[in-house]
Amino acid sequence: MKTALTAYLVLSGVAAAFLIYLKVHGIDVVTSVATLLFWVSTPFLRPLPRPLNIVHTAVGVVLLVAFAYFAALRILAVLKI
Amino acid sequence: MQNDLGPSLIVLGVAISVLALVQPNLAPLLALGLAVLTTGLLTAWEPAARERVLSKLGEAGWENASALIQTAGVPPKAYYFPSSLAGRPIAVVAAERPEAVPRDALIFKTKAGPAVVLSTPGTKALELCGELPGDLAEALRGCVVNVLGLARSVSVAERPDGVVVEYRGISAPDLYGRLLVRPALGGVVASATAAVAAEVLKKPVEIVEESSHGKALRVVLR
Repeated sequence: MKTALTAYLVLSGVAAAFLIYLKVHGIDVVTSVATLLFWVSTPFLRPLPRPLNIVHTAVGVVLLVAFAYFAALRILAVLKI
Repeated sequence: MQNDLGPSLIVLGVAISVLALVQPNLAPLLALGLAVLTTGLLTAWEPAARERVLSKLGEAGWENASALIQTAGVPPKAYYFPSSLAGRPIAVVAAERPEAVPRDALIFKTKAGPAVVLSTPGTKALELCGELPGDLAEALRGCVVNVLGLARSVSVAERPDGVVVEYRGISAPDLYGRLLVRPALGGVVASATAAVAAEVLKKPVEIVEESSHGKALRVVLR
């Protein structure tokens, strides 16, 4: 778990630095990248004992909901509804 | 230190996330802030959650030991024997202190009835602690405080009624809940204390009293 957490932190740091370098400041892009990194690291973090996997899943679901919201806004903008 | 790492990461994660939200040109830091926050949450709770699971799984062994004591019909009172007398550090649950313990016996008869031989948390503590110094206070400090990390400090006083051991800053798991082995063997720290004392004093030891007040624990041995 320690290795997976370290990799998750390093990847998040690299992603944040790269987005700052690219001057991408949209919160929607940042949330999407954060959600992607979170769920990519999840299989390497599991299994987790009972109360912890609930907390971890809850954080992931919140990120997914935020991602879905921003994705829906983009889709609606493309469809011009 | 491990206990402080999780909360520290949570605070750092919140700070980075707030900074990312307040400062528009640093918005990408939100990804890092959320990652640090999640890592902090997992680091803070993971050891305690795993310890709880392992402790629960290990409870089966203590349930069996309780059933054995109950079936043998002996009162829940243990005498800790050193390895020099019993071959290995063990506790004997019996109505009265046995004169000797037959080697490799699980149950044997004494004048007062049957006696049950058990491995205790103290037995395992001694395996982890290795060689002990000759002084009891030094041995307890080295083993219970430094190696096992079950207490922050320990003081030992020898009185006519027995040896009084006082711990401060206790941090020990509850291995047996309300099972019968609890009054028989004592808590985890008391058991380790009795096993170390028996080993250092090279004589059988019993726990006369065990009382805790918050994070302090007082164990009287005889």
